[in-house]
Amino acid sequence: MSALPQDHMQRELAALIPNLRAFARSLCGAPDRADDLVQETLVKAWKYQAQFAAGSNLKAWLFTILRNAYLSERRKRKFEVEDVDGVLAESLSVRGEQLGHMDFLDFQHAFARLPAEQKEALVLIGAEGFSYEEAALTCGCAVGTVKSRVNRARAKLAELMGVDSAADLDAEERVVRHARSGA
Amino acid sequence: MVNDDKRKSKMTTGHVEGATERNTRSTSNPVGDTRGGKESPLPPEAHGRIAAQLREVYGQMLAEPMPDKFAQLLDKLAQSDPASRAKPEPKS
Repeated sequence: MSALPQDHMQRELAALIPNLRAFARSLCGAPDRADDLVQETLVKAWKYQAQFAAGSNLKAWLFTILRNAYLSERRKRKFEVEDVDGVLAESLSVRGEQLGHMDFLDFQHAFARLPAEQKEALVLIGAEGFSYEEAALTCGCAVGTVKSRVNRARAKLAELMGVDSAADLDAEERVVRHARSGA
Repeated sequence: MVNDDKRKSKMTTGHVEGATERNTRSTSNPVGDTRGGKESPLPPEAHGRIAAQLREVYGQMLAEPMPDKFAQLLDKLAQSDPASRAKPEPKS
């Protein structure tokens, strides 16, 4: 196993920062916390770069570091799911206005309600284009587990967005509005 | 999943039975009812819509301008003492 030359490593890391930020934001929602996670990931990646085998998947390696940092931080802080969602809903409503498209607001609010393991599985497969095998390695679980998480995430999004039933959407929107007005 | 829980609670409370029946009848592939099937449990149209929105939202995040702090951090790391880095295969 040989490490990447240092200047090469620096360039490769720089090129992947947008992906790290998008992945971190998908997981934790709050932009500030997401950027903190990315910085922590870069520091760790630099420190342990000798463990990275040149030629293997750097993005998957970095994503593993980032999601482990996220999960470890969440355990430490004992975040409640509701708190995380609240922060995310707030940060996403701003983005929704920029998009000016109701569907995106709905999608983002729905996405924010997914459990972390479903968020990461869906993003890796559906947005980053990872294979199921790569996603399984990144998340430290079986390929079948990734598939099941992705399917459950899609089903939950469809339910929350009312893609399968308008009645479901109305009910969920009332729940969301109620939760937000109470926050 | 929550979808199942919701259906169950609908059925036990009984006041939205009509909606539940309608879902089951009108949708060839209602979410949750085909779990364990080999294919995605979603109708292709719903699947496509969710996939497209995910890519769109994620793409917008990828395209966001990057604050200088990241490049500065990488420069700082590059100038740091190589001895501060972990050796290959450290015990963890």
